[in-house]
Amino acid sequence: MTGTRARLRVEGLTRTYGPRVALEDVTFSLAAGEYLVVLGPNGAGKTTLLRTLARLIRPTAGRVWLDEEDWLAAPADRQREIGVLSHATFLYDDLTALENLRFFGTLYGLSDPAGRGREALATVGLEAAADRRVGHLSRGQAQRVAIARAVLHDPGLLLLDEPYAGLDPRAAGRLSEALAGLARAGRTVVLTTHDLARAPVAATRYLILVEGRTRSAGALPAGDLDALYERAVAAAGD
Amino acid sequence: MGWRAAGAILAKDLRLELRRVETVATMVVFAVLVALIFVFAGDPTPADLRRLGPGALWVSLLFAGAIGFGRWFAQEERNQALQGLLVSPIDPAALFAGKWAGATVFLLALECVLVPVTLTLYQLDVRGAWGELALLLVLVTLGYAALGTFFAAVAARTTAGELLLPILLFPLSVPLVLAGAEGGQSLMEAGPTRSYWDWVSLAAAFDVIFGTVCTLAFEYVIEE
Amino acid sequence: MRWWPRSWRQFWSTLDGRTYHLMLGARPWIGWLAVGMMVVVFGLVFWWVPLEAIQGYPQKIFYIHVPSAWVMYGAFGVVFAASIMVLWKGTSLWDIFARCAAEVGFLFTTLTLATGMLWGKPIWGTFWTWDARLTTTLILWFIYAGYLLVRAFARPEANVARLAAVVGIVGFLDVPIIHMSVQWWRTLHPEPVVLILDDPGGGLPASMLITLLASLAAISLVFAWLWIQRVWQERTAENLALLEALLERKERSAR
Repeated sequence: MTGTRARLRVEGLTRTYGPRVALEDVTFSLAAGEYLVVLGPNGAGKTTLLRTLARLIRPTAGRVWLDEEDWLAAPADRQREIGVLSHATFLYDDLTALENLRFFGTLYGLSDPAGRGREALATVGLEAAADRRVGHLSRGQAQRVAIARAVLHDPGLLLLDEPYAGLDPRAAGRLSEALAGLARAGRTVVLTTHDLARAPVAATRYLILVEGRTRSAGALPAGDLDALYERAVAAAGD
Repeated sequence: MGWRAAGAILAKDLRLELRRVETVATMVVFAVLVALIFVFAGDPTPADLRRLGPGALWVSLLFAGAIGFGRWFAQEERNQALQGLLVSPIDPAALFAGKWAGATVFLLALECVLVPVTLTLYQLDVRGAWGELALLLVLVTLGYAALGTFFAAVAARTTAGELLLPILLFPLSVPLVLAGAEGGQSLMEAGPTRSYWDWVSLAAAFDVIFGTVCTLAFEYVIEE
Repeated sequence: MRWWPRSWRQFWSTLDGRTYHLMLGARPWIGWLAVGMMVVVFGLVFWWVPLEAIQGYPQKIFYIHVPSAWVMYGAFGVVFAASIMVLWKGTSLWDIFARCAAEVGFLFTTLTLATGMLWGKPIWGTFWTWDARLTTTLILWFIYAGYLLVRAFARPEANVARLAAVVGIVGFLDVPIIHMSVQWWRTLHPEPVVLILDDPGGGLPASMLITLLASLAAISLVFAWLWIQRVWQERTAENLALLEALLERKERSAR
């Protein structure tokens, strides 16, 4: 599984809550190793999209293929193909960083959870914090442990949902470095953010979502992403 | 694979609880106090005490358990740890099994304190039938832990969780309470008679039915 | 609509639609039939059936109380079946069937409790007695209430239909066990007062049995009528909301 880069294909993804439409007919493709940044204002459906890709939510309609496999119908075991990072860390505050990683390592069926945990912590520069409780770490540090958790099992697809939320500029900078490192390793990445300034330099594709619909999409670097974004948001607002 | 994951969840919950003994300690104190208050509230004669004793034990256990179930799920809500579990390859059934096992262990730990205390306060005499009492306790606890874990998850999906957990849990637990109280009382009055074994069978059947149903139905509770 | 399905698969997939179709067909006349039957039963109870020797007039509540209890269980059975279909087929109609049956069932549970208590007062001088049926009915009342409250308070992101469905299923499976355990409990500690006579002596005399069955038919019709009305209301409201949403989206994309 090491170094697997997943190919992602999304077609007609739709999610409604009764009469309310959270996602409407979202379609895109990612080749192995591509880095997609999903932009949009709050409530645009970015989190819904990511959670659907993470299989936390079932879509009302649409299909997803991960490496040519029907992702939505795949068994629970296939969750090891993806790694998820959100603005919440998914960690237990009263366990140490290493204990958290060992726990998740066992869940993912790794043969040496402790060893892999230490490696992952080293990747994000936190080997020294291995035996400190996550609750005692700063928010930025906890978020980096969360990255370690997300890549512990070497997934082919990384899903990052507004990972910068709540981070001060220095912590955000360190997070950017860590993420750039991951991207260099060649994984396929989907990152959502509402903050254009945080659109990572390493991104290769962009998609702008407003009110659940795709307004604009294409390759990066694109000419004037700011202007594109403003136009897309303005167009939807009428 | 499912068993390993369930075991990991159990180990994680035990480790968490040992770190901050808060929940089990709170439950123990609360349960003992309830058992005490019953006596003050009723001013029973020794004969009354022996009749009420088994019931008081189960009432204390029930209330303390209801407090515990809510908290064990609350700790998964911090940092949205539950989401972390849901994106992992773990089977919802294995997740339930792990949490169910944890709840059972904690309740049994509580009973290790509560039972001797109740036996003393209510002047109950087990007449050496410790094995039978333990069997009854374990079976009733297993059933209650299954329902409690399940409905704690259901209540967590609502905005009135703390209100809904008792409303959902207590009526459905009536057979277990009856089995525990009546079985226990019959045991203490006349030893392991037919009546006692009837109640044990009821508790065992209850555990099998609801253990299975709750494990299988759990995936529908946590999905979106 | 074709009556005989082509295959079992089609049978189960179209069952909700065909059931709803039947309900729509019955809606205009079932209310009148129910009322008519109730009038007939009223006549039977007060003018035909003989006065019961020991209890006198209060005994006549039995003809409402017992069928009401049976309908209460039956309604829960409907909730159970519909809940299973919600998990299996997942259409919104099955969910509508389940929640409306629970609402009306709750009503009949309350009625069973109330008639039980009203019956008790003149007979034993007290509104409540811990007899097996009344106790089980009270527990069932709480289970119904729990189901309805879960629906009412579910978070918006939760899948209410499926969440409620599992609550309904687990609840229903417990009902026979509760019934059995409460009965055992009562036989171990019998009430000093003689319990509700629904089977005096060597069985019910024919006239009482006929009246009871007639009342059962009438009350079942009332349940069916109320259930059909609620289902129709819910379905129509749902269609309306969908149409409104569709219209709004068309307007927005036209701009």
